[in-house]
Amino acid sequence: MKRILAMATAALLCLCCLTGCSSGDKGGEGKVSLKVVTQFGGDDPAAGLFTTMINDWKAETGNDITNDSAKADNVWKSRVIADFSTGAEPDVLFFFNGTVVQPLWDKLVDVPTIQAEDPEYGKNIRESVLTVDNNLNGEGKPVSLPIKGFAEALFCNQKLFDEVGANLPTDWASLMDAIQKFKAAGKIPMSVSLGGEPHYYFDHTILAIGGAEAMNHNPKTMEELPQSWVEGLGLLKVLYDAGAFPTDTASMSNEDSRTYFLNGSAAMYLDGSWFSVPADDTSGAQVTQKDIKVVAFPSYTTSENEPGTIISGFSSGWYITRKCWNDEKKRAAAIDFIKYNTTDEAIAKYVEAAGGFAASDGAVADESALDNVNRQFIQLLKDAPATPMTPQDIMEKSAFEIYLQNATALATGKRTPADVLKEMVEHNKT
Amino acid sequence: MGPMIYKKKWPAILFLAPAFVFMLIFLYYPFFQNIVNSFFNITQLGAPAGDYIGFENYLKIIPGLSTTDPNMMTAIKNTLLLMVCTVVFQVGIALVLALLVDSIRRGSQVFRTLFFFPIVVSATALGLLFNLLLMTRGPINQIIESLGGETIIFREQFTFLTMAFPVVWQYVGFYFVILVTGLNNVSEDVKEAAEIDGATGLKQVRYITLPLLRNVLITCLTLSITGALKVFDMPWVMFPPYFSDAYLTGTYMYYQTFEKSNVDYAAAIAVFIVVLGILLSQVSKLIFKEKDY
Amino acid sequence: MAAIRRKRFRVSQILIYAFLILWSLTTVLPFLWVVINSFKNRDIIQTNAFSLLFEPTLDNYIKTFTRPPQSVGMAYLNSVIISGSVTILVMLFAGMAAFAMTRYRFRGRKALDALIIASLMFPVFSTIIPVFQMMSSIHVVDNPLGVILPQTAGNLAFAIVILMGYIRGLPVDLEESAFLEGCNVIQVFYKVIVPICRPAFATVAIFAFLWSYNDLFTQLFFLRSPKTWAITRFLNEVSSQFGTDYGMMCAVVTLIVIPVLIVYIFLQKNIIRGLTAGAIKG
Repeated sequence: MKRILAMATAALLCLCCLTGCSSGDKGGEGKVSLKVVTQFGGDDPAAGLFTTMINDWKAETGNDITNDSAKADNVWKSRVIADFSTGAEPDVLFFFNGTVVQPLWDKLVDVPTIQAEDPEYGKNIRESVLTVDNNLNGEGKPVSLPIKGFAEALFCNQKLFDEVGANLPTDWASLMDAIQKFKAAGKIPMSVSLGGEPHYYFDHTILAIGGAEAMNHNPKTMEELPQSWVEGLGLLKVLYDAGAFPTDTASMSNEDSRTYFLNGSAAMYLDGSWFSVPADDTSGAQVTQKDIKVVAFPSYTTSENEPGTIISGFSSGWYITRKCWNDEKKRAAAIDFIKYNTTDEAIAKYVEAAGGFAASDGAVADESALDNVNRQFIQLLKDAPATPMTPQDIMEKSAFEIYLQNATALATGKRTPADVLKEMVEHNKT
Repeated sequence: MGPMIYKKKWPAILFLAPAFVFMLIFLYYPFFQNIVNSFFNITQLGAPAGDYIGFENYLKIIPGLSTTDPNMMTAIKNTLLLMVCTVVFQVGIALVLALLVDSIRRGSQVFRTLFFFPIVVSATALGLLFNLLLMTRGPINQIIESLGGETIIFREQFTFLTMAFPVVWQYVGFYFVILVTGLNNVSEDVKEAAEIDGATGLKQVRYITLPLLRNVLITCLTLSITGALKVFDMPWVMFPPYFSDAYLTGTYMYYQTFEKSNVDYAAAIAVFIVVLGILLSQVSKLIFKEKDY
Repeated sequence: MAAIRRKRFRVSQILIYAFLILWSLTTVLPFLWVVINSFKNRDIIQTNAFSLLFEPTLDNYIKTFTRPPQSVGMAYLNSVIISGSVTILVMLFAGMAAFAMTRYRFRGRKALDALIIASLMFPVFSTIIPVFQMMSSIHVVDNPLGVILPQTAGNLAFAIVILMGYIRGLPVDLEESAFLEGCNVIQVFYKVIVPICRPAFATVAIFAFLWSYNDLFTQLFFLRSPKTWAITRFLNEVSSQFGTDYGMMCAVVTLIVIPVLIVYIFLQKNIIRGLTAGAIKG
């Protein structure tokens, strides 16, 4: 046994020498070392860019960075929060907004306080972005600096549309027409896993009836519940009855809904701007960038919605922790580091790397660096009469869960929208 | 009259101490914390406890009350059924394989290695494979359709089978290895003696091998019972989070912790799982009567 | 008479091999599928999951081996150190505890037994936070010990259960005779029990190693700086928040499996029959 361990260790040491050991960070003398935690880790498209930014900043300022970034999943989220509770929180954090940081409000420094110290901080970020609901702490002050946002829209496989002779869905009639034609041709009209990821259909069915105004509600009582929500969720059944959804929508795994779209079995797929479509030169891919047309979700026949409205939002941003703030030297370094990453040029680079749209008007991404899908999103956003945020992010998580658990039931008619919404409102108390 | 060597009891403490001290610090104390947590409201793993809510969570787990959580009942039902499958099939197939491998002369090393694979390959990768196989336009359905049948939505039409089969299959190798090791205790001499007396093949298995494997089999029984209560990887990857027909105690607990942000309820479920596990394993030991030699 | 016996012998042998081969196909093919897919471009793994005709690419592996700021070799080394330590500690402590639990009769034994079964079921995320807080307060985070200690505890229960099963089946004669020859209990443990139970220890070792090796949760909480990462933590960095890179996942699984298989094959040499027989005879 011991011999085996020795041999294995020796073998691995050789392997280690061959591949080269990591050089490890060597900090400069007399300068500050910041601990940074972000989502730009792992295979995140911005991970490489972030590493470059860190190295450049370190070279310029002589300060040191301990980068503890990782892929953003549930376990990582718990770990970040646990770190706060053990006093091991980082100095600078790029993290989610919304209810998840609520327990951390008193350990994070709000933006106005930072701006009092350095007026240049976040100056280029749009005011409307800074003050989105899910970025405000208990005192109504913005608590993070978002740099880029996401948008949601309907991905359409133009090739399939051409095959069955249908037009892209610009209104409800053309949507229904397309659904019928795809059904007849044996294709899935709208790919979605209602049992796994029905989130986007909440936003868009309500949007299709109530428009941007309907998105701006967080009903805590039945009186506050807009009628458009009830009617909107009813569209789930309309679509289901029309045969728009896959037969196994209740039970298929989340990934399957994407697979159906990407292997050409489904014509439409509702998702956010982060959805990755293979590049045109990917050998063996059945659906690539050039086949995709991104359109705004169509409005219902009678609707308050202005066509072309796109749901968008900001889900994460830069934070400075109180722990860092209380250390004068670290405070200055942290502000500087974040500013370095949030200049217009920097934001443009992040957009080019990972898509989305910038939170600053001055950050103009090089269009040639963006892919077809990304460019379409940016155009859609430019043309959109309104870009409301989804109420999902401000509702109580347990309230929104009611919808998620009942999406399939709403589609099949097993439960009525009024019923489910009543339950949601009851759970939506802070 | 017991063996002389073990009459003095004090060495036992010496032998037991390291393991139990470890478990006390890293398992029992934290789990006690977990029990405490189940009485308070906690929404995010890692956040401090909120308001006191008493037995609210436990009332959701007791069947037949107005507060009973139907999803938890589904989870319990599924898990108990799964347990029967793991005990009968996982251990059963493993036993058959172990006996067969034991009886052949050539290639046993190869088979022992090959049977081990599924345990080593991550459940996420295996789950992905199964998902791709079971899609409505996936290979299995394609074969069915080419034979003139209708597309099968496996997760809806054969919910339990779709959930149980991969889970059972994956860990056969685990019990196989344990049983193969156990078969070593059945020494060659005993088998030769039995053969001379006329007991070969199946008779040998029934009257010689199995009784000598008794203790190891009971170990497998205990492990498969507790394993079924805890299993989570594969079912989580294979079934979407809101498809409540497929809940198991393991996946439902994970769902409550991370998706529903209801950490205290998950803690209560954990307590329930532990209690149920202890009960069932003690009952099974009573039924099968462990024997000391 | 001999001829008939040989014929029946052969038919049943064929059936046996057939069944075994059938089962090995089910266990090997999925692994082969993963390996094949590790050479596919990530974008076509789901859509072209089962096609054998594709343009193979080494991209997934290249990405794994050239990821800054960490090298794969370092990660493997860390894994070996961590999982190796866990394995040794588990074998030692579980062996001792199982010995005491089976051979000694004392009050409270049933209760301890129940406690062991109970700890078999504690899910990792139930216990991780308090453990993390404990370790943080004594500054054992970002350190292999932070993983080794909890993982050892976590694996003790099942190791004890398995070893108890084996030791129970051993006749006490050998131990008695050793005692009569003047060995005290501790010597009996090391000279008699441990050698005889070598196969059982090997079994426990492989699974303790495997579970420690694969335990991502604990690693995520305790290993922060990249140079401390074990291989599973290292290879977890393959998916971004926007979706899993299945190509890299398959490459990763392939890479993860290889060392474990090596350890298993070596340990297997201890799980061969004849060992026990020899010991008792001699």
